[in-house]
Amino acid sequence: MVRNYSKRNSWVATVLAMAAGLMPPAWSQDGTTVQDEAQRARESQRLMREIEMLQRYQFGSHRGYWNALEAKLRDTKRRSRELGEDALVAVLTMTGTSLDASILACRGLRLVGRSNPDPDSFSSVELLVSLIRDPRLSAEACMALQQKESSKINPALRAALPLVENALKEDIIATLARRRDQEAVPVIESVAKGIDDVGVRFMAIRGLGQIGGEKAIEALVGFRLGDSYANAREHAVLSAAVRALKLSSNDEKTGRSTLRRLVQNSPLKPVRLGALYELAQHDVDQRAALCRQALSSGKGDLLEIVPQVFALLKTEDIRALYGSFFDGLSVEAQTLLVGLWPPDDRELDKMRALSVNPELDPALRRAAQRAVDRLEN
Amino acid sequence: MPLASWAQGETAANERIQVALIGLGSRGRTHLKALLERTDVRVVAIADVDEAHRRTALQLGEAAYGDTSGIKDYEDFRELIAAGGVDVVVIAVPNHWHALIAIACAEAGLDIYGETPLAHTIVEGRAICRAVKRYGRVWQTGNHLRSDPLFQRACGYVAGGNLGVVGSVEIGAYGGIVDLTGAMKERFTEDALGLNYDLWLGPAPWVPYHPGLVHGNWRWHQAFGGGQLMSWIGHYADIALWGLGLDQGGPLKVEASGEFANHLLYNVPVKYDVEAHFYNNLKMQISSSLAPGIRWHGDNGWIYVTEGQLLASSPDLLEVDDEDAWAVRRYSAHGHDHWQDFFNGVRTRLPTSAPCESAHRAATIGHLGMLALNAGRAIAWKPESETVFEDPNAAERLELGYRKPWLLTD
Repeated sequence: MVRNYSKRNSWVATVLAMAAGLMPPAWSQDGTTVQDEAQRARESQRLMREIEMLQRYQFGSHRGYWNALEAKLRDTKRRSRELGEDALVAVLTMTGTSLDASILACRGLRLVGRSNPDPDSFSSVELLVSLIRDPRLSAEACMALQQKESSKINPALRAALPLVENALKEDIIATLARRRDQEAVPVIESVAKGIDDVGVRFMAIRGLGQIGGEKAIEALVGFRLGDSYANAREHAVLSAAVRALKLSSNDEKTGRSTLRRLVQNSPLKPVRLGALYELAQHDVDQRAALCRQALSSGKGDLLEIVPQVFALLKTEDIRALYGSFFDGLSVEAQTLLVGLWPPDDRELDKMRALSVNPELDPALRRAAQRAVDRLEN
Repeated sequence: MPLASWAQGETAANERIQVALIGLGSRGRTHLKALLERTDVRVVAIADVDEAHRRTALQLGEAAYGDTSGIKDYEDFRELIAAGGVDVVVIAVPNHWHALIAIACAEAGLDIYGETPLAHTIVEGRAICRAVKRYGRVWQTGNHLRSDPLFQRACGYVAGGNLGVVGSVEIGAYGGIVDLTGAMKERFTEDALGLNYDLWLGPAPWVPYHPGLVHGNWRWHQAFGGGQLMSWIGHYADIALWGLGLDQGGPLKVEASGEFANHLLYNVPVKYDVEAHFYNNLKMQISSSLAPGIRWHGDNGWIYVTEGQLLASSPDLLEVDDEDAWAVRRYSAHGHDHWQDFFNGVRTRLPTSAPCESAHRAATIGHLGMLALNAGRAIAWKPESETVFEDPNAAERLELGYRKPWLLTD
C-alpha cells in the first residue's frame, strides 16, 4: 500500500514511487546532468537498501540500522529529522515489513511527525490513524497518537471504538482519555454499558474520570455495573469532578457540588479526604472553613488532610486556629495543629503552657515542647 | 493508622506500623533487612512479580520473626493493596512502575516510601505529587543523603552564606553501563523462569524477554530507566537544590550533549554533560566525567561533598558563627535516621525530610537532560507550569504511552 506522496519533495517519496513502479528510474525529464542523475540513483539505491534492512528487523537481532535511524530522529537539523520520519513512513507502508519493524516505526512516529508545518495536511498522523483498526498495530498506533495535535485523530478514534474487537477498545479508550476528548463521553459510556468485558469496563470508568466534566460525572454516577467496580467508580467520580472545575461554568458548578457530596457521603475515606482537599485548593474563600471542618471531624476522620489544607491558608486564618477554636478540639487535632504551628512567637506563651501542663496528653505536651524548641532555635 | 505520638524505646505490638514492600530486588531486600530489625514496625506483606524474589524475602522474614512470621506474599501489588491491613508501603521497583504503584497506594490511603528517581517522566512525577497531596499521604523519598550528617552540614554552610553568592554547582555522576546481574551476555529466551514478565513490563512498551533487561539491568533501557543520569539525579541534584533552597523550583533552560549506548539491548546515554540554567544566572552542570558528588562554587570559594567526604577551598568555609548556626541546625532538624524520620511523619502526619515535591523537582532536571539528549537540542522550560516553551515536538516526549490495561490518571 503506497500513499500519495507526490506532494512531498523528498528522496524517500521518489524512492517509494520507484518501488511502486510509478516513476521511471531516470530523471532525465528535468534536464539534470548525467552526473547528477547517477548520484541521485546511487542515493536512492542506498536509501532503498537501508529501508529494506529496517523492514527486516526482528526483536533481538542487530539494531545497527535502527540505531542510525533513531540518531537521525535526534539530529539538531530539521531536515535530518524529516528524512527519519520519511523512512519510518516508508517502513510502515511498503510490503514485506516485519511486525517488529512496524512496531518500532510506530514508536518512532510518536516522537516525530512534526516536520510538516500543517498537522492536518498529509502527514504520518494520517498513516497512524489508518492503523487504529489493525489488530496487530492498533495499540502502538494509539500510543503514538496520544499527544499529537490534529483534528483528525479524535473523530477517527470515536468512530472506531464501537466497531473494533474488545481487546482494541481498551487502547482506544485510553487514548481518548489521555486526549481528554469530551465528545467521547457518550460513546465510551455506551460501550461500557453494552459489553460485559471487565477490562473494557475498568478502562471506561478510569477513562471517564480522566476526561472529566459534567457529562462524565453523570455517566459515572449512572453506572450500575456491580460491586467490583464500585471503588474504581468512586475514584473516577472524584477525578472527573476535579477536572470539571477547570472547564465551563456549568461543569464547574457540577464539579463543586459533586466534591461537596463526596466529602459528606463517599463510602471511601481517601475519596472524602481528596474531595475536601480539592475543594480547598479550588475555593480560596472556603479554605479556612474547610480546614476547621477537617480539624473538627468526628473521630478524626478527616484529620489526615489537615496538613495539606493548612499549607494553603493565609497567615491570619492560621493564627485564628490557635485561639479559642483550638481549645475545643480533640487531643489528636490539637497535637496535629501544634505540630504544624509555624515559628511565630505570637502564641509562644500558649505553646510553653501546653508543654508543661501535667493534665494534658503526653503526646500533646511533647509536640508543644518541640514547637517551642523550633522557635527558640 | 490513628494519629499517635512516637513512643520511646519498645513499641507495643498494637502500635507498630504495619509495613508492606513492593519490589524485592536488590534495593527492596536491603530495605527489608533494615525494616526487619526495627521494633517499631512489622513487615506484614510483600509483592514481587518474581517468585524467586518472594521466596528469598519470606526466608528473610522467617529468620527475623521466627516461624510465626505471617508475612503474606503476592505476585500482583493490586492484590496486596486490596487485602488491606497495611499502613505504609515501601516501593522499590523499576522506574517505569513508580507512578502507577505510588498513585494506587495513595488512592488506597497508604503512606509511601518511594525510591528515586521519583518517576519515569515529568508528567508521572507531577501525577504522584498530586495524588500524595490530594489524599493527604506522608511521603519519604529514598534519598538517604538527606539524613547524612556530612550532606546536611554542607547544605547548611551553603544556605548560611559561607560561599557568598553561589554562581554554579557541579554534580558528578557516573557513566557507562554496568552488568548488575551478570545476564547481559545471555541469549533471548522465552522462559522467564518464575517471573511474570507481562506484569513486570506493565505499562512499558512491549519488548521480548531477555534476562539482561530485568533485575537491575532494566536501568540501561529507556523504556524502563534512564541510565546512570536518572539513577543519580534523585540523590545528588536533590542535595544540590536543597542547599540552594531551590528544591521547589526549576531551571529555565537545559542543554545536553553525550553519547548513547550502541548495543543490542540498551539505549541510554553512556556519557553525558547536562547544563541547567536557573534564574539569577545560576548554572548547574551534571556530568559523567566529573568526580561523583556535589561542588557549589560561590564568591568565596567552593564546597564539595560526597559520601564520606566534605571539603572546601579553605577551612573557614566549613565553620559557622552563632548567627548562622541556625542554617546548619535547620538541615539536621530531621535527624540522621532516614527510616525513623519517615515513621515519625507517619505517626505525626508532619512532613518528612525528603518530600515528594523536592524529589520531583530534582528528577525533572534529569528528565529535561534526557529530553535534550534525545531531542538533540536545548529545551526551554517553564517551571511554574511545567511546560516546554515553543517546542511541541519536545513536549510530546514529556510522557510515554501506556500498554493496556494501565492508564495514568492525573
